Amino acid sequence: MTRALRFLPLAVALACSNGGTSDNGTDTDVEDPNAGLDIDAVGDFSCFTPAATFEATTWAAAQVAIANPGNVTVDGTVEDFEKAEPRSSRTVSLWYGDAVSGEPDVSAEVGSAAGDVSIVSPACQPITYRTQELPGLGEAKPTFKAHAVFGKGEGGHIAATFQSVSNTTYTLIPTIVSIDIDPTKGSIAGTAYDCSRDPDMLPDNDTGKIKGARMRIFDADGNPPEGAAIKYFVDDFPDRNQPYTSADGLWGAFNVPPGEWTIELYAKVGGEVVVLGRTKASVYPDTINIANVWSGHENGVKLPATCVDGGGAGDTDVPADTDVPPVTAK
Amino acid sequence: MRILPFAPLLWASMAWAAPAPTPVAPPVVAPPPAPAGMTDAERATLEQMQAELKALQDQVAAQAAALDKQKADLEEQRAGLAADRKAVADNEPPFKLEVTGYYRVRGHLFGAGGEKSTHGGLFADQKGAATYMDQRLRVGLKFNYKNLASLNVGVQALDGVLFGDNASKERTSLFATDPSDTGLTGAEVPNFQVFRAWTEARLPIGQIRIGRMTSTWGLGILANAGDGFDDDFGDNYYGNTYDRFLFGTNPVSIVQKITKKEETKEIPLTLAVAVDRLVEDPLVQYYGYKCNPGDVTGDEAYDARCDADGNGTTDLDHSWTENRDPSQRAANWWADPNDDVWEMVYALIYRGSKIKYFGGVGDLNVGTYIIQRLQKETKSNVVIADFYLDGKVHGVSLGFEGVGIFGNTHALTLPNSGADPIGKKAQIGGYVLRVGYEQAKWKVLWENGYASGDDDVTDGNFTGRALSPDYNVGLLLYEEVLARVSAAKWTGDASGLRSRGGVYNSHYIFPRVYGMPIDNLQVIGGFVMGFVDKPDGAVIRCSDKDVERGLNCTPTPGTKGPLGWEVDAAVKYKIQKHVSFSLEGGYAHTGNRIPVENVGLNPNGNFFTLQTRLAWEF
Repeated sequence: MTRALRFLPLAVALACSNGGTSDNGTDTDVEDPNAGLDIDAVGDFSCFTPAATFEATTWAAAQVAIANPGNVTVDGTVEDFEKAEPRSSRTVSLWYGDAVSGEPDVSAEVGSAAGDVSIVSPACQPITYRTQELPGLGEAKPTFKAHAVFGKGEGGHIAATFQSVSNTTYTLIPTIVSIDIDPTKGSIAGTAYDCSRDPDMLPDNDTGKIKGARMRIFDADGNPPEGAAIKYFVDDFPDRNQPYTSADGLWGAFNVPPGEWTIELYAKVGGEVVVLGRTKASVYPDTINIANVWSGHENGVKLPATCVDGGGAGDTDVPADTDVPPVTAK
Repeated sequence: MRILPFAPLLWASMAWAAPAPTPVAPPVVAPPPAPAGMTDAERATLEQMQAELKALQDQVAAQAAALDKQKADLEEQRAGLAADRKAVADNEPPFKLEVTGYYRVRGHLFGAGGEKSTHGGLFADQKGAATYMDQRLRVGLKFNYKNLASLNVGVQALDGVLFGDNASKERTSLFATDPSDTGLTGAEVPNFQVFRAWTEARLPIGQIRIGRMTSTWGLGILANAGDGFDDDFGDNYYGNTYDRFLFGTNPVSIVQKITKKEETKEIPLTLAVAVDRLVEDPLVQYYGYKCNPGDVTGDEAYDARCDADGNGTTDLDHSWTENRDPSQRAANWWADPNDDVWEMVYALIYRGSKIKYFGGVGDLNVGTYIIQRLQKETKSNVVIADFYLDGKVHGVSLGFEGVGIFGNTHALTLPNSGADPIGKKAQIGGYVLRVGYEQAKWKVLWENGYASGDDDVTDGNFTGRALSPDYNVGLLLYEEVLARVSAAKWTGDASGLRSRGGVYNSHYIFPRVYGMPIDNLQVIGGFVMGFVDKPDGAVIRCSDKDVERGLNCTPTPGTKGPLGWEVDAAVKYKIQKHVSFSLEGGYAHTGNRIPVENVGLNPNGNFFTLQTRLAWEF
């Protein structure tokens, strides 16, 4: 199916806000960050003990990846996020260190009109990927996704989708939610997930999407991004007035200045406002960054069940890099 | 007393003064006998008056006789003319081909950009002055059968095509020879197009037309044919065309025929009723609800419409609408009446030319235009009402057109979070008012207008619509800047919300002065200022005050003031009857309401253009 209207949710998923902006465009809910948060979040939060502050939260037990998971060949398809149609003329790049620093560790160009791309990635290890159009096309924005983890797959191969956000989608979603998008800044979008969500699930699977959560964004000093706005989606469509995530779990932050930002997921659980999870995102001008937040996890990394001891079958046929230590996801 | 003796004279004078079509000689009145007891002097005066009266009566009788002769002569001439006319008509070929239309070339120059962006460059990254030339050929062919019936065909070629080979037909540009058919978007456009074709015929009680025809009304803010050169600044790039069946008649004439009361003077009143078929079957399939597979009975999200096999688990997967290609259509794709979009059009207009009113002689056009647009499957029932007045007398002109669009629809799939996610209530308005004063060598005109905006396209009210893009207000503010900003923001499936150069989400003033120093030469000066209506926060920035007045938009710090202003000037000259030349220039400054810097336009908000047009008109 096409995603004629679903593209809007993705864009919104870029951010979370306290529900409004002040005269200078920054969040105004600093004084009362919980205003409008009038429902208990709907989701499974049994994997950890939430608390009112990040420091007081007892996070989920660290996931220890199986030893030497090796590499996996990702048989990917690059898809337009809005149309869910394959896109050619795109390059997929991976940074194995889960940080965009220097040249990517590996890049591959889409091989056909079907959007096929084959690329090798370490299995069970967070990486950052970027889809980017070939120069001069003017069709799509560079789309980053940090903390992506590929499982071990079958026979050393795993299927995956790399999303590419078109210029059209990138511009239209903010316009609909009354945001004048600034090309010197970037956007972040993502989904709020509860404990039941497995990273191997496909985006169309609604399992574990949290209703009733909010996001806040801040830098290392705890300051919110000046001029940024956070919006939530309703039924996969961006909504100006939605005060927290709806059942689709989607949120978006727009006009976030370039830099390193922490995204914190919070919600009312059992009548108390608590922190549910955190992730980090590196924002670049005029790009979109997909950053999902996992309940119970403090760094935005959650390993698929197949990567955890006893989590399932799977094997790799690519020799493991023995220098790579086992990954621990918190 | 002398009253009675003067009565015949008074009657005679009145008889002459009255504009009777055929004056009749007054009856000869015998002088009354002189009353007894009258003095000699009185008698003499009476006799003198009687003599004068008789002389006058003789004069009148002679003139009446002369008039009778003239009348007879006229009737003889009329009969002769009718016979001549018939003879000419009998000798005329049954078909005549009439050609109308024009070919124009328009040159555009925008100020230097880049580091010199204060000089009025259009784009932020413009290296220097930017120029291009475009063109359009539009020809109307009328195959006319004795003015009783006709076939009308409209063709256009090179519509918006830029000069030069812009498709690299010649691999090495320096060797370019044959120009391409590249439009301003950079894409190729059709070289030749039959874009209108309709036939019309006279009936005893009116006229019918059927086919793909032009639609134009009033000042052109709603329906605008986009033909010719009807703007002081800029050109037409679009134009309305409808597939329509129309019946037009003069209702007064019908009443006269029915009552058998024929007036000597025709009342120029026209009543038209039309039906437009807008869509037979949309290529974009409309559902009006979303389906996600995997929802089971009892789930909040379960929708039985999405459970095709009825096994309690949804299996369909689509959004409110779904794009299709023609190959997905069944053989009976056109048969479903629920997805048809059609409209009824009712128009009543009085077109008075050189009529007497307000103590003078002038033109007066007054009319109203009502459209009802319908589509069953989207529960759309929208009424468009338009009132138009245009008159000029004693050198004073008044022009007005106001339009209102009201009704309900589910066709706009920009959902809101209410109980009816894609239900919209249309509440759209717009108008243009012009007041002018004209003398032989000069004219002044005050114009202001309005196009309602929409601060939140995702709520249940749909309130924004730009005026027709072929109703030009200046050269830059609306025509270039807002058109480009709205195009950059309303992308993809929302491109229908673009302004395309029309007045958008604002009020404006547009005073102008005209000078006509010699025949065929016109000099025009104008000033435009735009004031925001309901900013949406993206295409037009929103201020804190806008939020305070209840608009649902995200304010941008420091936003205030109007949209911007613009000064324009033009010199127009007609050469050899069929060729016209126009030189037009404009300078505009936009305030921080319009986010020019975020869509790649000159961040200083200063814009300059110089444009020329050379045209041939049939």
